[in-house]
Amino acid sequence: MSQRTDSPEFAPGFIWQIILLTVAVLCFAVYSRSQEDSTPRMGVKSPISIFPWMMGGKQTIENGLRAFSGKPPEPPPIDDRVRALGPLLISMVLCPTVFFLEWRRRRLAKASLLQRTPWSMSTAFYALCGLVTVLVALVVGPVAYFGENARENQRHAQAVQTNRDFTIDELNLLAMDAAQYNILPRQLGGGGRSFVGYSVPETKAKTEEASYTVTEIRNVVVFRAASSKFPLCAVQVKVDSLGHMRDWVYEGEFR
Amino acid sequence: MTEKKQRGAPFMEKNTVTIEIKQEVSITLLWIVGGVIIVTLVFLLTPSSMDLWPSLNAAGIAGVVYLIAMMTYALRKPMEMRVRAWIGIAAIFVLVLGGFTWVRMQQESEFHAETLIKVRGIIGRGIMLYGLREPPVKTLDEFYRQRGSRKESLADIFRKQNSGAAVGTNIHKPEWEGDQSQVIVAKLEPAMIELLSQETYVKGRDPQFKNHNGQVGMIQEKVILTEKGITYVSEN
Repeated sequence: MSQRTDSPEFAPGFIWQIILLTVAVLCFAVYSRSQEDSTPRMGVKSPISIFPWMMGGKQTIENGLRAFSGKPPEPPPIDDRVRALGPLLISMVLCPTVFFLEWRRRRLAKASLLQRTPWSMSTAFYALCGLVTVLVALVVGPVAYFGENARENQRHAQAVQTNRDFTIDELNLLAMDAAQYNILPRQLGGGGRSFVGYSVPETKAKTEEASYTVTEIRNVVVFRAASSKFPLCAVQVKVDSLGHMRDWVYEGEFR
Repeated sequence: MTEKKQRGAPFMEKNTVTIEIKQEVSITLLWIVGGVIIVTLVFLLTPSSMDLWPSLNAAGIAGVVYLIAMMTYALRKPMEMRVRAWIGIAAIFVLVLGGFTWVRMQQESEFHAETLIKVRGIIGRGIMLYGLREPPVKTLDEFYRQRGSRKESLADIFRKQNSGAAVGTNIHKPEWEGDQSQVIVAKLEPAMIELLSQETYVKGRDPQFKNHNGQVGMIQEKVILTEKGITYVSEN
């Protein structure tokens, strides 16, 4: 069945009324949300993207940063809401609708002379909407693929960093242990102002994070921590008689 | 259109074409306006939260429903079956991939936000340990350097090294602007000194743990100094 009709189905002002209603609803929504608190926020640059999920991610990370700094989370401000809603409407409503309905019309009309107008505003708009729709459809695959790769890399980097931080914390404890060994008299199991005889306590020699060994004992003690999770990663540090740590050397991905 | 051209007069033909275009534009506009209203209302009416995700997800689902309805309309007969099938499959493929990326983005951002808090906890413990470690080591060092029969107690040496130290005082000297670390003297007895440090907003392992300052569930670390050495206790 063709879409052609000899009589209009809508009163002349109907479409404009609908458009005005839409604008009014949007304005009302924007106004009502603008009453929300608008205190200064943690600065995460707003991503410019046709993909609506970018703004969602930005907001979540922003609240994560706030929690990092000891501040309470904040609801998304109105401009972030608009930035999230805009791409959603463009990529899921406006562009696909214009593209597919116009494409259908052109396909079914078999391109009569009148509809083959070489260049007009509507043709340009149709082309733009088509471009956005096709681009979004084509790009979403690579975005998913490369996004997965990037995620894996990020998680790996994060895991390495966390392992390194925990290892440093445990080395701090060992530094205190070595210092007190140096200080305590031999009668109390210490070294009597010497590191000679010091070894990493059995309970601390192997943890979930790393294996700890003493590689050198002179006027300082040198600890080496080999990561339990990332075999090529290690960290080495010198500890003096008061537990001061210096000359850190990082190996592998800990660098 | 061709039929019209064949049977209609030129005047009628022009009228018919004008009406036809207007109607198609009207239908397109109606779809757009309907879609904008539905998606916007769903987005704005979703209960407010600290994240955009609930609103985005709800509006995204509304958008997908709208897209399916609009495409069903656009691909209806007399469109050839072959074209409908290809475009339908492509649309499903794109929607699934888009949905997948969307969900993964949400998971990823939540993971990073949680990681930030976790990292803050690790850094916090590291800073506390650094602050807690030094005073008892110094005190113990001086205690065992004493010669002669009359020896000062651990508490005496500790007070001498940290002027004004008393139970409940903070002996940490800020090392940078904004350094809010605290090393609190929890016990100061001749042969035993307890120092503790706590976070004021980073949660520890036990959410029910009662902190020194009256808060609940925050990270708290402690060191106990006796003549036999230093004991480190990760309290929460």
